[in-house]
Amino acid sequence: MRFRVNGLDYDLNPEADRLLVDLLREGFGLTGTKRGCEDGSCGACTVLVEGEPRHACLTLARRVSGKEITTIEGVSPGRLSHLQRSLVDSGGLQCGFCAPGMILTAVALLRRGKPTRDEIREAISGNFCRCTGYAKIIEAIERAAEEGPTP
Amino acid sequence: MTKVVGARVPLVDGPAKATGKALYAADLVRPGMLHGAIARSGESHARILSIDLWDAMKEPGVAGIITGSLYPRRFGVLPITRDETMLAVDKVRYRGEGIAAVAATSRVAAERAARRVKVEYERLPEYADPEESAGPVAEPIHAGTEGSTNLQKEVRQEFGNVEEEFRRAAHIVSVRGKFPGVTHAALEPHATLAEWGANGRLTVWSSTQVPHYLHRALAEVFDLPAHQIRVVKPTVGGGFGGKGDPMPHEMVAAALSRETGHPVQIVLSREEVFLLNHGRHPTRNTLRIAADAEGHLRAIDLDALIDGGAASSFGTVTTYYNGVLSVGPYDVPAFRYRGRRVYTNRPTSGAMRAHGSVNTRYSMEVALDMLAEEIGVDPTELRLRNFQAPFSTTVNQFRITSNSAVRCLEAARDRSGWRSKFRKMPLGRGIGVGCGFFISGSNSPIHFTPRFPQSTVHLKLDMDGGVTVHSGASDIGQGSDTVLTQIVAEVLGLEPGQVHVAATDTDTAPVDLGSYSSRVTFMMGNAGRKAAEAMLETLRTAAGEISGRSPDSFRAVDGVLASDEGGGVKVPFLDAVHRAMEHRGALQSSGSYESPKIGGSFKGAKAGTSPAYSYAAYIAEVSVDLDLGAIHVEKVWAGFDCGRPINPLLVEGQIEGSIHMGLGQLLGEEMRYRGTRVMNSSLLDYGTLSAVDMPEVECLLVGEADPEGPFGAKEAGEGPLPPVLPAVANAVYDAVGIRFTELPLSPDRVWRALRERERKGGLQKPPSPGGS
Amino acid sequence: MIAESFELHEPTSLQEALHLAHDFPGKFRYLAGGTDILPGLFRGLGSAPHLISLEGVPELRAFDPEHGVVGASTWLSTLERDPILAARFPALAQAAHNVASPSIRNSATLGGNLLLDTRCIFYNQSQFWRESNGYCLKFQGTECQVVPKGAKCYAVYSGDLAPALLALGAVVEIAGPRRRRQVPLGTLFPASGDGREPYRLGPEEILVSIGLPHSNLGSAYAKLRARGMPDFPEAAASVALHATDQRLDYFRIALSGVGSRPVVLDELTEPYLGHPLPEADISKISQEVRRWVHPVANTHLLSDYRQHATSHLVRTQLERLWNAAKESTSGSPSPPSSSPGAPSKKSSRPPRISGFGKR
Repeated sequence: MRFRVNGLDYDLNPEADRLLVDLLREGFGLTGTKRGCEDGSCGACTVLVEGEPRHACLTLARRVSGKEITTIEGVSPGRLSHLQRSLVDSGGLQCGFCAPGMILTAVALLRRGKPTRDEIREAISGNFCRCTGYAKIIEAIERAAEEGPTP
Repeated sequence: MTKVVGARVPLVDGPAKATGKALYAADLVRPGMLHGAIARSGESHARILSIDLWDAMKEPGVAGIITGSLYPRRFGVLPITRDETMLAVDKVRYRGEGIAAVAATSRVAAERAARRVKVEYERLPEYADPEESAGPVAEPIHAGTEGSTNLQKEVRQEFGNVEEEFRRAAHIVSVRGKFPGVTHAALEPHATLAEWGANGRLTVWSSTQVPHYLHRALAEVFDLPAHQIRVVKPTVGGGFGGKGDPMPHEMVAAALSRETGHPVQIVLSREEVFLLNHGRHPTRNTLRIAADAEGHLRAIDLDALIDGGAASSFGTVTTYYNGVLSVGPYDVPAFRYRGRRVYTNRPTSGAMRAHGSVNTRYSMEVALDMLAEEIGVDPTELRLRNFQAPFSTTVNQFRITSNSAVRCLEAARDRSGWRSKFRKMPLGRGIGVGCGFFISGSNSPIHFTPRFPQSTVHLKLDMDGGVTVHSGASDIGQGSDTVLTQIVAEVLGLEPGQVHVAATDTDTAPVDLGSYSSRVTFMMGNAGRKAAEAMLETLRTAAGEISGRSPDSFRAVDGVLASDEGGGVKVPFLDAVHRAMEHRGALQSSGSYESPKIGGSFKGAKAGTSPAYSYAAYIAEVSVDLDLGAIHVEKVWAGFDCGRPINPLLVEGQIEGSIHMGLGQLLGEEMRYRGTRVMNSSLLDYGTLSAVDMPEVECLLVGEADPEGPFGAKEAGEGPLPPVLPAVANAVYDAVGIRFTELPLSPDRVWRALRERERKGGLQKPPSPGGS
Repeated sequence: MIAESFELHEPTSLQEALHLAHDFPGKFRYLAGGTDILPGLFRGLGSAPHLISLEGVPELRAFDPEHGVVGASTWLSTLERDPILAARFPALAQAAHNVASPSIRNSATLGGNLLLDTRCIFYNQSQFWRESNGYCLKFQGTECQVVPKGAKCYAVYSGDLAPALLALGAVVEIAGPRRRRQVPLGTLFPASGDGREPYRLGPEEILVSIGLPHSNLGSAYAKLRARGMPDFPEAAASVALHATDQRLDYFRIALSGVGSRPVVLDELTEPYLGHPLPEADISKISQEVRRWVHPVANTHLLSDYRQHATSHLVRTQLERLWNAAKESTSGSPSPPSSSPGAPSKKSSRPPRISGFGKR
């Protein structure tokens, strides 16, 4: 199968029971995609499939055939996007384990327009964070939204 | 004035984390690496009769299998209670304990093989009830417990004349609290990679809060000289106490590496993380307080029964803390405590954020609220009457230094509009207060022989002018590397970007007792400051040589060494470095911190002593859904005294995160058991709060500088947690007039209480103080 | 967390999917979004040597909210975001919006949520856990762990969409090896209500689409859950009604999360057709709802609370919907009726009853 990860084309045949999260981590060394819960509740494995957030731990690798995947490594290669910068500067990450999934969820959210505070809360409600209490994450996304739609 | 210290400096490792480049233990790969999996016991308490590895060994990809009998040496985080083995030996003590471990070519292969391990057991009586475990039992879980019970630790303390105070008291209030266990639920599951090198040296990369304790435990378990072991801490995805102990799977990975000759990685599944637990102890406590007519506290009488689960972990400390941490932040002339921690056949409990303090604090703050009502005084006023004085000594001989509890409470009260809200809002809406204090590191290290400093920091400065900082303190997400960077940069007058903290590696980092007991900022911070000051002395001398001014006249600021002497001169930092390096090479310096001798000399006197304490006073506003019982926390005003914050951004993060964790415990988080079975070992079922569940938090950092803290700082990692639970519970009382002394306040239980109250004569607001 | 290994089949037409199913009798499962099946398989909940993915089947992708036709493969995020659907079938949009968490809804589908496996705290556990606990009546065992000696399985039907679709009077189109059929959605859920057999569907049959015949109903969905996100319902209720000249001419209540199947309370609501709905009747109906709700202790919250909450959810929806219906000027059946609680883009989000915490 062919598919595109962070702008690069790949051609390979993953086993049927290979999860996307494992293919990315073990196959491609894209370890920014995290495994946190194994049941879809924590969102640490969130990647963008065709621009929409999906759980890589609930996605069979074969089912992204022909699709475009963005992982945290592909959000803004070589420099911090203003969303990433905002998350760091606002204290919106501590241990950082939720950050990749949180950022990808926020990327998709900000592409849809400028969200309200409640829409931010709602959008990240499937991304668990155990460190920050979410306050500074929400603030960071709000700040990034001020700066424009393409984080 | 400081420039870098006190500023809102973002995490130095933030960019790596935000780009997915930060490497956690599960992200590491070594050439030839195998994957380990652990076969776990389905029995809670049973003798192992036989283990059949035949089918497991036949699975494709298996490189090696071990059982507990190969590695029977005991370990435990406290040297006085070593009662764990890497895999069960002879008997199992909880459902989920490791029986055997497999190394194989893939994670899946290892798990498949682990499933094929067959065990024959002889079942033993299961103990799930701490009351039962406290008395004589047919089959003690561990040998050597007193009188054939499952009692692991009993503490009895008495200070002042408790009986007399209760006899003379104008008011006596008592609370019986019941608290289920909760767990850390750090987002990163534990992971370890161990590699036994060709030269016989062991390297372990692990998600640990205390590399130094892991280092020691590995040396003991494998009977190796400690210098043959290297422990590396990669980026750690949160700990909260759950990665503080040396853990069985860390030993297992090392053992499998030794057996197979390959590096072996073990990543725990989320279920395994729940079974490993080491979370907050399920606890029942009975607390009585005596007060005089004006509400001055005269005595505390406290009894706690603590369910320790299958092993000791930090439990002896927990048992002490449940008692001794009840006293502050108040001045109490008499105090009596009996604490018992018992083994049960449940996953082990251990240290969790605000260790040993949360459940006692809840009962205490609820009792104070009841006392205020009984006396007819505003509960904030009652607390103000009772706060410990700064620079005083408690009845159990804790040394109190800086203490801004009063400012915390006044700030929270003013910002929250307390006076216009308390007892004045309509039924279903309420406001409540809760206070607390917490240690800035334990005065007494776990390993007290030989007596090392609690923290040492080394600096290296070479021709490039960059300062490399070696520290054994573990940044687990709280930002200790950033705090250390700030301190060193401040002393040397540099931008933070010129200072680089080397990740913890026991080959290069000096011994530090790691990230627990809220010790890092205070102890590592002081050590770092001393190391930087020592370096500065060298640079001043060099600047003096260059400029002809006296070395003592130089200050380091903005990348130069500046002297006002002789019309003033500025020596660029790098010039001073190069001068100092002449004929000696790279510069090194060292600083360490050792806490002063404090505390009494009675048995257990050191428990709870600390060079400084944080103080907190929180006010929470809630609304209670009278139809469905749901508690909505609207806002929390968090008055907090961490001395002078080194980094307010990070302190706020600690407060907001603590409130998240505390509210979780109050409102719904719970290790649910049926007997000894954990019922909710997944993040879906456990119940940590999501972004839509969180209230607004206003952080009020009002502390004054502590005389011994680094730049006046005290802890901020744990003290922010305990006050939020009683503040909300007291607000719920203000809203609906019902006292909750059993956690969690889940909506179904609140609803039941509301209905019961309606049946018994109606829901109504509690009376105002003084009837006004 | 490993699954028994499986083959993945990716048919591109309905016929091909049905043929594949025919080739592997008893050894396959259809796979939609996978958000429930995959974590289940990785916990050893059933085995399926052949997974037949329906994602590539275009017939299941129909989406015509104008005419009330929604294909089974439609993502829940599409359902919650589509403005026409939200205006015409508010209950469906609200139900979709309340499933799990936003990114799950980008994968989870209408068909998958409708045909969600039943859940129980003794069943949704790892292989290790269930094995050491002696399994249960639902799977691999002989004894119910919740109701000892119980003859049936009490695992809970926890789909969010079913009550909304049932209240809205949905019909489903089903494709089998020999024929296609259209049936009322309710017939999919057998009256026996056994958690082991939650659906009456032929082994190879595929849910193709749902049809919503009534686009002018006032409707709503409300859910009780333990926290804001991402939990399954502990109780859920949906109400749909329509009034002409202040008299009900359509009235349905459906429930989920409190038993082994979703329930439609036509027996309760039918007597009210042709009448207005005064406050006294709303009280009476919401009280009587309890008679249909007998949860057992196999979720996180207390059973009596879940029963009470169901009643409460029905009451609050009835009040809102009836007030809106009687005030709507025309009373004419011209679609779409303006319903309260229809999620508009920015402002009024559908109310979510959350168990604890804020908002």
